[in-house]
Amino acid sequence: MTRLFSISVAMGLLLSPEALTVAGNATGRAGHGFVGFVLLAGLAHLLVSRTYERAFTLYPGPSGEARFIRKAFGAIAAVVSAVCARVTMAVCASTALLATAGYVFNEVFLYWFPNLGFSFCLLGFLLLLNLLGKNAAAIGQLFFVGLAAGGLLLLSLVGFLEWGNPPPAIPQAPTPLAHMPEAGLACLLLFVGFDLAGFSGKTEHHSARAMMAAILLAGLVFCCWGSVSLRFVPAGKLAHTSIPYVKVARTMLGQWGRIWMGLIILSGASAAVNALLMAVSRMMTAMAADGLLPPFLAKGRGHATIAFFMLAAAVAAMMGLGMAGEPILETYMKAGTWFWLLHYAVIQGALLATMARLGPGAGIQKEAGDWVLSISGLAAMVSAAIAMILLEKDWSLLGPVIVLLAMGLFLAAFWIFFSSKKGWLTQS
Amino acid sequence: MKGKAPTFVGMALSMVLVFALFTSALSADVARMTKDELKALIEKGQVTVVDVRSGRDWKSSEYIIHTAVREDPSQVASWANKYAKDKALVLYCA
Repeated sequence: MTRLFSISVAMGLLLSPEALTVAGNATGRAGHGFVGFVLLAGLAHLLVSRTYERAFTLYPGPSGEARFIRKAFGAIAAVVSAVCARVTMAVCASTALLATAGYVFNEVFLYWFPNLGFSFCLLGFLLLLNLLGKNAAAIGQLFFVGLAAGGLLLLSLVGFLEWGNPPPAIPQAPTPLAHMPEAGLACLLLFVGFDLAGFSGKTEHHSARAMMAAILLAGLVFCCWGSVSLRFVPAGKLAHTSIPYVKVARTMLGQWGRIWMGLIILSGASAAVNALLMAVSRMMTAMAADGLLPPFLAKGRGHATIAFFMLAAAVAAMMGLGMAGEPILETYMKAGTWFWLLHYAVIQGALLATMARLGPGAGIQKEAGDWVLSISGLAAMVSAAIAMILLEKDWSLLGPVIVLLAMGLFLAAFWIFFSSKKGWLTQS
Repeated sequence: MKGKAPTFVGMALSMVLVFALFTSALSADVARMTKDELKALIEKGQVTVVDVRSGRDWKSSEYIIHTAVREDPSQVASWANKYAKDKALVLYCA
C-alpha cells in the first residue's frame, strides 16, 4: 500500500491535463519520433531518481533532500532551489489545473454548473480528503492515478484495436526537423514532478524506487497515447491545439470518447493537485522542523499542517482573484517548471560534490560510472533549463524567473540569518 | 488537544476562504442570459458576441460561440470603438 501510494504521488503531476497537452503538442511536432524522445527523457529523469536513492541513503526522511543539498551548497541554496520550484508550482499549477477541471466538468458533464464553482468544489473535496486523514488522502490519490493511467491505457488499446471509429485517412507529411528541439524539450518537461514521491512515506529509500517505477509507467502511458494520437488526428493539429487529448478521444469514440476523456482529465487534475498539496506541504513541514523555514508551518497533525492550509488558501485566493484567466499564470507555471529543472540540476550537482567529498566506504559509491551518469544527468537538466529560456520566443520567461529568484534569495537569506541567530537552524 | 488547535484554525480558515470566494464568484453583479436567449439574439443579428476569455479560460475550453469575435480583455480601449454602438455587446468571459 505504501509503495503503491508513493508511486501514485510520483505520477500525480505526470498525468495532469497539462502534461497531456504538452505530450499531445510534442507528438504533433515530433511525429513517431515522439517515442524516442520520451525514452531519452525518461532515461535522463531516471538518472535523477538514482541520485535521490543515493541522497536518501545518506539522509533518510522527508528532510533528506534539503539536508543533502544543504551539506553540498549551503542552507540558502537548499531553500531557494526547492521552494522556488515546488511552492510556485503548487500554487500556480494547482490553480490552472483546477480551472481546467472546471471547464471540462462544465462542457462535458453539466453545462449549467459554473466552471469556477466546480473548481472550488474540487479544491474543497481534496481539502476534506486530507482532513479525513492520511489513509483517505492515500486512497483518493491511488484512485485518481489509477483512473487516469488506466483510462489512458485502455483508450490507447481501443484506438490500436480500432474498437471505436476507424482512424481517418491522414496524409503522411514529413516531420519538420525545425520542430525537434521543442519536441525534445517538451518530453523532458513531461516527467517533471516524479520526485514528489520523496515526501510520500516514512521509508524514503523505497520512495526512490517509486520514482523510478513512476517514470517507467508514465513513459509507457505517453508512448501508447502518443502513438494512438497520431493515428486519429493529423500531426499539424496535435502540435498547435491546447486540448489535443479531447480531439483524439472525440475522433476515436465520439461523445463517449469525450466523456471517457473527461473522467481522465478530472482524475488527472485531482491527482496532480492532491499530490502537489500533500507533498509540497510535507516538504515545507520538514524544512520548518530543520529551521530552514518558519517553525509555525510545521504545526498541525498528519497532513493537516499550517503549510497545507496555506497552500490550499493561496490556490483558493488565486482562483477567486480570477488568476486562472490571466496569461501571467501560464508564464509563472513555466517559471516554476524551469526552477524544477534547475532543482534537478542542483541535486545532481550535490551528488557530485558529495562524491568528491566522501571517502570510499562512506555509504555512497565512487566508481567511474557514477561520475559519468551524474554528470550526464546534470548536463541534461542544465541543457533543458537553458533551452527553455532560448526557445521562448519573446523572452517572457526571464521576468518571472528573475522575480522569483530575487525574492527567494532575499527571503531565504533573511530567514537563515534570523533562524541561526535564534538557534532554530539544525546542524547539517 | 494542544496540537489540534492550529489544525482546526487552519481548517476553519481554509474552508471559509474557499466558500467565501466561491460565493463571491457566483454572486457577481453582472447581467446574465441563458444560451437560448443568446442564440435567439445572434440569429436576429442584434448582438455582437465578444469572446474575452484568455489564459487558462481560453486554453481549457473545447468550444467557441459561433460568430464570436475574440478580443484581449486587457486592451478594451483598443477594440471598444470597432463595434457599432447601436448593437448590444455580449462579453463571454468564462
